[in-house]
Formats: sequence, structure tokens, C-alpha cells
Amino acid sequence: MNFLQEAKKYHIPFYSHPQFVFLLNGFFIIFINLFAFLVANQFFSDPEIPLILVSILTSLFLILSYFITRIFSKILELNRLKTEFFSIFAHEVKRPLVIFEWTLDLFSEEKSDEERKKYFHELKKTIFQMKNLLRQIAILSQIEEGEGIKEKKEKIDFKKFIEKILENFRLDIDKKELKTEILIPENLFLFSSPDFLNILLANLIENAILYNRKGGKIQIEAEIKNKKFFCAVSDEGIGIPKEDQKFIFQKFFRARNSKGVKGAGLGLFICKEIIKKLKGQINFKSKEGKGTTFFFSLPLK
Amino acid sequence: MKKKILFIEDDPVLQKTLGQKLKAEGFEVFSAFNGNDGLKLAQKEQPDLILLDLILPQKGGIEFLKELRENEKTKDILVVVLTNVSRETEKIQQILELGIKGYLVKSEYSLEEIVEKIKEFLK
Repeated sequence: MNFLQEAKKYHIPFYSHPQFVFLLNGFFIIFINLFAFLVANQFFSDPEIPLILVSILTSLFLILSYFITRIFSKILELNRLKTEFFSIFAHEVKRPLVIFEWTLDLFSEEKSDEERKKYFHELKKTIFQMKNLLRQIAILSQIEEGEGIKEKKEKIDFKKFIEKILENFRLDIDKKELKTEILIPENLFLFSSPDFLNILLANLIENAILYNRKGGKIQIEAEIKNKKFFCAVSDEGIGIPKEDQKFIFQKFFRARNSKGVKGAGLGLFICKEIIKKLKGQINFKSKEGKGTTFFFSLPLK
Repeated sequence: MKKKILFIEDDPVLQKTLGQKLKAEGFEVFSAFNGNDGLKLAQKEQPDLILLDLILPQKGGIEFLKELRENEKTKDILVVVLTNVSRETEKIQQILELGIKGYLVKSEYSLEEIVEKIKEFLK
């Protein structure tokens, strides 16, 4: 009676649940077969032929209805995820808005220029966070729809590529006094989509900055082995608690020790989706309090 | 004497802004980032009112409320929930049963209005 609980979860009456419809279908088919048996015995001198025919047809019908109801179950689940996504999204947008409003309240009352500057900085930071959230959502829908982002592959000089991304994060890296170590040989080329790779690596590097301890190290390694491209991004940060590790790539999931770090819980989900598109693999190693290493592999072409 | 407010909120910016505003309004403010620290402070400082966020690390708002009510020393302290979780939460009944003075949704109020509400609750 799983569907009773599920119907509740999806907020639909139980008789609209695909599993229930399928069950009803099953009973209906048993009834048809019984009916056919009775009728055939009564009116046919050779009842096996119509009986076999009816059972073959109804079996086919049952199989078909199984697939149809399964598709509907899937649509229901997708619909639920979308609704859930919206409610979490609304919650995520509210947070920076509240910060914005409250800080603005203080800002308007504050007389000292020094303090006002601090509030001003806070306001700017909040705008950045909101933009970041919206950007992540936009990226996600682009990945899902396959629009806007170029999947076209190009020859990429990986070391230069990484240096360019790091340059964009220079301010954040300096602010946290992080050391960066790039262990990538010169002239390491791969053939991939620069748009996708940029989002992927920017996400991983941003995490390595945000979750790092002050004065910690970020290490980026890459090599080509067995005709595959391997890359690892490590930090010396707070790590991911063991209990949370299996959820880390899920949409909107945030580890329990990540509260002090701003994020939408979308970065790693996006990484995983991109890796899927690029036909690679991604995984990580992490120890709470010590640090985390994310590594991924990609085909060379 | 200054009224004491314990403000339990995991967002540092929100904690700072509202905390500062409350101080400016003449309250003595104690802050905690999670339920565990909140409980310790509640026992130690015996605040007149606790402002409680629901989604907190380590110990969530509801667990905090439960334990607060179980303890002889803290069971009568006024609690006002201040959260972004809308009133339509499935757990609202449970929260109301644990005895709260008010339920405020952050995004619905300015700082000024929140302070007004708090003053009303403390009357």
C-alpha cells in the first residue's frame, strides 16, 4: 500500500495515483479473463481459442499499462521535485533579501561614515550572493535544457585555463591568505567544452576557497594517464562530515558544518551534471577538519 | 534595569544587524549561533526573552524549545520564533504546543517593526 503514502506526498487523491490505476487495471483484466472463460464455455464449442486470444491481448494490455503508469509516476516525481525546488528557491532568495532590508535599516540610521561604509560593504556582498544564486539557477536550467552554454569542444591549454580562473578569484584568495599550488605540466592539452569546464572548475575552486581555513592551501593537479585526463582540486578546509558525504552531490544539499559559508547547495550538483554531459567521472575524498579533494576524469576527446 | 534578550541565529549578518539594533534600543543582547550554545546561555543569563531561529546547526529550534521547556530553570522564559520558515510549516502545531509568545517571519518585517513587536511582547 505504498501508493497511499505516496499520494499524500504528491498531494493527489489516492485514486489518481498511477500505481492505484495500475492495480485497478490488473483487477479489471482478471475480471475480463473470468468473464471470457464463462462466455467462451457457454457459447463456443472450442473455448480454448478465444480464451487464449483474450489472455494474450489482455496481457499485452497489462504490460502497456505498466509502462504508461510508470511514466506517469516519473512525471509525478519530477513535478514534486520542481515544487520542492521552488519552495527551497523562494526560501533561499528570502535570506539575502532580509539581510538587505535590515542592513539598509541600520544604514539609514547610522551617522558615522566609518560604520556606514561597513554596511555598504555588507549590502554589496548580499547583492553578490543573490546574483550568485540566480546565476547558479540559470546555469542549471541551461545545462538541463542544453541552451545557452556551448557544448562545442575546443583545444584547451589546461594550465593557462586554470590560471585564468584563479585570477578571477584573486581577491578572495588574498583575503583569506591562501596559498595556491598548481601542479600541471606545461602544454597539457585536452579537447573539451571550455564553457562547461569553466563552470565546473570555477565551482570546485570556489569551494576550495570558501571552505578553506585561513592561510590554508589550494592545490590543483592535472595529468594525462591511460588516455584519460585527470584533475584534482584540494583544500585544507573544514572537510565534509562522514554522514553527509553520500548526499554531497544532491541538489540544495548542504553539509551540516557549512552553515557559516554562503552557498545555495547547487555548486556540486551542477558539477555532477556537467561531468555527466562530458562523459567523465567525479568523486571526492574528505576528512572533517582536515580538508577535501575533488577529483574528476574526462575523456581526452 | 535593562531587559535581557537572547538571540539565537546562525546567520552572522542577521545576528549582527538585529543585535546592534536591539542594543541601540536599550536591550542587553546575548547571541548564540546554535541551539547548544543557546541553551547554555539561557541557563546562565536567564533572559527575559529568547529570539529563536528554527533552522540551526547542531541543535535545531524545535529541539532547543523542547529542552528549554524541560528544564526547571528555563521553562518559563518567553520565546519568540524569528525565522524565514513560513507559518505553513508542517511542524507549526508542534511549535505552538511548546509554548511560544510569537511567530515572526523575518522577510515580513523591517528592523524597526521587529523591535516594536519585541517591545510589545515584553510588556
